[in-house]
Amino acid sequence: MSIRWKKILRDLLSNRSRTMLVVLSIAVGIFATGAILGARQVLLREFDRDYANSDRASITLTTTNVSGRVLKQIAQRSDVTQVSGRRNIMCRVRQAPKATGAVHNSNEWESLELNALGEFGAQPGRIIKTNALSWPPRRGEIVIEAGAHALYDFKIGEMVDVETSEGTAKLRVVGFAHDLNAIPSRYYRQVTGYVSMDTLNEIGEQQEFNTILIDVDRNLDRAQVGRIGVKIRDEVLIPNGVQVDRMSVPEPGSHFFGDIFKAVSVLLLAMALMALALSGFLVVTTISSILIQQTRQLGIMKAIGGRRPQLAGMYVGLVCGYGILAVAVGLPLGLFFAHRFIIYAADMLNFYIYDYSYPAWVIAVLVGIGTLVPVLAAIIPISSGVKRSIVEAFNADALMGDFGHGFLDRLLAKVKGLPRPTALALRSTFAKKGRLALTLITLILASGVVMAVFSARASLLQSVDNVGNWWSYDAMLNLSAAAPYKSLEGDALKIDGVTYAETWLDARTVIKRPDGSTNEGYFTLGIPGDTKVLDFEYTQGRALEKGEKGVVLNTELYNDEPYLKPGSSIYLEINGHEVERKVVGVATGSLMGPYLFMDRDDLSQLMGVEGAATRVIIKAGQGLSYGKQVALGDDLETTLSRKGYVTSSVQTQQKQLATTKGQLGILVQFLIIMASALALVGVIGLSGSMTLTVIESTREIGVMRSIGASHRSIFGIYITQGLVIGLLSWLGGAIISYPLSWLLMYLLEVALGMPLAYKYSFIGIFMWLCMVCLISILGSLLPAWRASLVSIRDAISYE
Amino acid sequence: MEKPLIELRDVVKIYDKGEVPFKALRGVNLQVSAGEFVGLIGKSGSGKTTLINMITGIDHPTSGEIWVDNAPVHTYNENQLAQWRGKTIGVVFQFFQLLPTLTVAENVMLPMDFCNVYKKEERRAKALHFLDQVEMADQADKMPAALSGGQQQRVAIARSLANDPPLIVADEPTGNLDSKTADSVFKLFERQVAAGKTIVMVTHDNDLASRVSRTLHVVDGLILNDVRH
Repeated sequence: MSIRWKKILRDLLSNRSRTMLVVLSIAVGIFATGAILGARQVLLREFDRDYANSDRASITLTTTNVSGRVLKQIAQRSDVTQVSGRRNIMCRVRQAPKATGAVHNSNEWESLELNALGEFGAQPGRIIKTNALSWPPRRGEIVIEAGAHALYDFKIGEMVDVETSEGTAKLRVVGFAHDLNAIPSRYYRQVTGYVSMDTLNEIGEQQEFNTILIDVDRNLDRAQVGRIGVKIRDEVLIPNGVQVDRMSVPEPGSHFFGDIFKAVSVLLLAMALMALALSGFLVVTTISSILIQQTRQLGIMKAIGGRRPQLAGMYVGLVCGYGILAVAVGLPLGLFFAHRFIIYAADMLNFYIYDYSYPAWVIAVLVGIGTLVPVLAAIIPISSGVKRSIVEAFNADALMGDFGHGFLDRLLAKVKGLPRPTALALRSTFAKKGRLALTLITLILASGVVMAVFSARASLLQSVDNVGNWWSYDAMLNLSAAAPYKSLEGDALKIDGVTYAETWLDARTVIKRPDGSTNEGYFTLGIPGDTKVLDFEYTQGRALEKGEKGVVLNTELYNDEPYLKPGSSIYLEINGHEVERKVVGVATGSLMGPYLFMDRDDLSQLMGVEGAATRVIIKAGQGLSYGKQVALGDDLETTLSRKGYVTSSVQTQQKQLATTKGQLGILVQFLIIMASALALVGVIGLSGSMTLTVIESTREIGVMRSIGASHRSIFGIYITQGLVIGLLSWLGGAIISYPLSWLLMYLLEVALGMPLAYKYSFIGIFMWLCMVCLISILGSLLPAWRASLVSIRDAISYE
Repeated sequence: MEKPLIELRDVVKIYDKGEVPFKALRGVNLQVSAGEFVGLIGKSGSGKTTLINMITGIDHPTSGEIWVDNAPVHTYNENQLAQWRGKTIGVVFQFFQLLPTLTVAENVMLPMDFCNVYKKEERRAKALHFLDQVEMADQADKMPAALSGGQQQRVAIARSLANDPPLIVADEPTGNLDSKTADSVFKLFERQVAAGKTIVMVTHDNDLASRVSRTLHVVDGLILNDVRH
């Protein structure tokens, strides 16, 4: 190894605290980028694989009873590649009372979407992974979709109660399956289960299919697939006397969580890149400081024959060395965190991870970033360092700032009445303006993002509160079959404490698009014109008037079908008939997916069930607790069941809000994780800047010590400096957090596809102020301690 | 007549960084022949260091010409200067200026490395040879911090010899040493002159100044007295 490189290597190893500082500055950027990029790429790749394996049906038809013979007819068509049948029943499940360790009260019923599968072996591989003891499940056995673990601690071998409109049966849990396309249990409080057709007898259901899953050529677009669905309905099902209630043709490659995750992950990546950029700033300040300390040595090397390119090469080498060390520290940590994050996100989003390994290019990019970013960051300090003439190099006193000339300096000198050590600390803070500026930019940006995340959190919670305001009720009960609404309302009002009752009608309607294609059936609610339950906000148009034959959409549906503006016609297929209605308004979504709202009487007429309803909603006074709402729901269920009505599910407002909170909570958690990474950059930045200040002020400290400064007052000076920097960055951050929080909310709205409330979090600003004080003190503690240890002898001999 | 090793023609240096421009050299003319041992004396701020910085190319003249070993130093850019200086001039500083993270031998080898003189495998032997000349060969693998001031200056002299330059320029090389050590360091310079080197040395020490072959007295940016002994 040549002498030059020996010098660089020894410089790297001899000043360990300085090396550690630079390495940490770079490593924190690699850590943040590695954690997010690594996790994102694996999650995206595994989601795509999971999605491909989940083999989502091209067309899902919900029908009246259909036999295997009809399915065979469909299978024989040339435009169909595969067909299978299921019986899909909405019912309820609860753990047998003796079970323990349940996440929730084990006696509480949860909605269960039960799928009875025809021939398991011949199924398209929709249920992609199972660790079931027996697969297919035998008679009396049930396999549960693994996402249900978020609700219940189901155990293999335990018995569960399953209740349908025909009665209750005990089924044995024999294992878990993964189905990416199942309704996510965590967010919709719904369990998905799989049984064999012959288990249907046990729960009093008919052994016939009511759901047909059809695969067609995967290269066709959604409109083409939709037309095949219509042909199958018209040419096969209707002639066989089968009525199609709903046809679902999903956008190829689109998945609710997948889409949100993709959008949110871009946001996270942006924040990771910001962390990287900020870590670049830290590198600039640290490398400049190192070069300032090396100024004299640069001068000597020039004097004995070192040329600029040689010297620049040496320092680029030094920076590369820092980079390599930083990669060695930051990369494994980042990837470890990414692994934890993948596990966490996969659990949250119900993705199945086949392969946790990181793509090679991710590693290559991170190593590249780790070595290249510091070099890029160091180019300017290095080139100005090597350009300095030998005379300047020998005369420059690296230990002196340039305090005393600028406007700010004179202003600070005028600040009177401070204790002298505090005044000194304040003025010293501004001695190195270049470094202070870079440190402040880093800290202000980090602070700004952290506070913007606080505001995003407050805004998301406000959005949940809004949902609470738009939906005011205590309990809501879904019936398994439509019933006359007048008697339902009458019965409900007889319940003790109930002050108000309202009934709605549920339907699924297919929208016919202007291009002739149809889309999947949308949830549709028939609401009385004088509803006292719903009080939406409208982004466009207005609410329905009593008895008006029009349609209101929510923003989620409007995002899918943006041509449906207020005033335009909407063509609906309801109960086999096509009708035209006018869109009158677009209501702000409630995080429950796309919905249509119509007048109840209009909808019931169209469905041929005039005067009927499927939901009963009741109110009983103000501010009922979670438990009281559940009890009220139970009362409603008991009352209606005595009258012979069968309940399919009971919801309470508090439960609904908790679910919504859970859905938004994951976003908040992701954001907080990133904000923490940025805060970490801030801590390292502040600590680094303070350390450099102490290293460079060694002589000054010695002078102060020699004229009587105690260890304590030296310590205090540096803590004060840290606090001043921290408070300045808080102030700057608070100012930029306002526009940043708007930007963040806008990006989240795009990611979620729905308008969200905006609330600037003053509590967040205050909390961050407290945290900044703490962080500033913690960040300056070590440097200040080092400073207080400087002895006069060390300081004077310091070179 | 043989061409002088160093020739300065009307060299002026003005520093205008302060509030009033400061004329450090006010038209210096000087010729130094090969083999001379020149001592520069003068008060602090008289321009001695500026003068030798002109000779070594460490600083640029405001006007005038500087020729060293037939090279037009005043026309060189910084990289040309570095390369040229490394091969032509050995520089010795008052505060030794060894690199703290390199061993004694490595400090001596660094100029060879920069200027790429000698084969790589010969460099250590060469360095030991120069260290032997200053009686420091036995300390070759020590770090500078482990040496006394006098020893460090010996190493610095060995470093100035590294690329076998015809000229050695030293700025108060004994200014930071006690008189006994200063004497022994001075003897090293005398040995180099005897071996054919040319030396230009700034000194405050009148005793030493009387032992050189030629004394230049610098006052207010001009050479007022040029005495050959």
